[in-house]
Amino acid sequence: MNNRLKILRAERDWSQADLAEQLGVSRQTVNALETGRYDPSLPLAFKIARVFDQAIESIFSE
Amino acid sequence: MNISTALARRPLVRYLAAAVGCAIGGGIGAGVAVGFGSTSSVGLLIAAVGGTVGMLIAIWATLLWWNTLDEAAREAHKWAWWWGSNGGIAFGGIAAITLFSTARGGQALASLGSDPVDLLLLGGFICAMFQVCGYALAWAGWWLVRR
Repeated sequence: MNNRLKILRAERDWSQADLAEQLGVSRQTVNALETGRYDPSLPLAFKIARVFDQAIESIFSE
Repeated sequence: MNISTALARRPLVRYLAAAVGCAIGGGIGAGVAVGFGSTSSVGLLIAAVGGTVGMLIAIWATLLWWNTLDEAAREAHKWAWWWGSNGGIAFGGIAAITLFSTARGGQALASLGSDPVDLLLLGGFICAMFQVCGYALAWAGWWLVRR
């Protein structure tokens, strides 16, 4: 699954640690998400969407 | 900063403190059990009760630790538990059986003792060692490919 996490984070000038803190996960998890090597659970995907104030489908794509 | 705050902020210190606590508790329990005689009913009862209490504390501590992990960290541990531990014991078991089936391996095994309890404990230790090694490798591998 592809995602726009890195772009969205860069647009807000957030570090991985900043995003990790807002999501309540570790920085390593944010890194794994950004590289597309770990797909988040539905609750975490909703949380990501809330943090970026966007729809899930505009962040994640197949 | 008090001790609990210091432990909460430093995971490595926390794990070390837990390991030291378990070692001291286990040592005291084993010493008391041996003092009563390892095969006497009182010694066995102390060992059984001590082991049960120790396991309950360990499970409680594990639950506390598990609740601090995020979903990716939990996934890594679950993957390591299944593939690492099972893979470790599967391939380690083949290696151990092959090794102990050789003449030199058989002699080495015999030199460790012939008491069934000792051999049972040795077998348990070997199984646990392969599982832990497999678990550690699988856990590290899971994170390595997701860097």
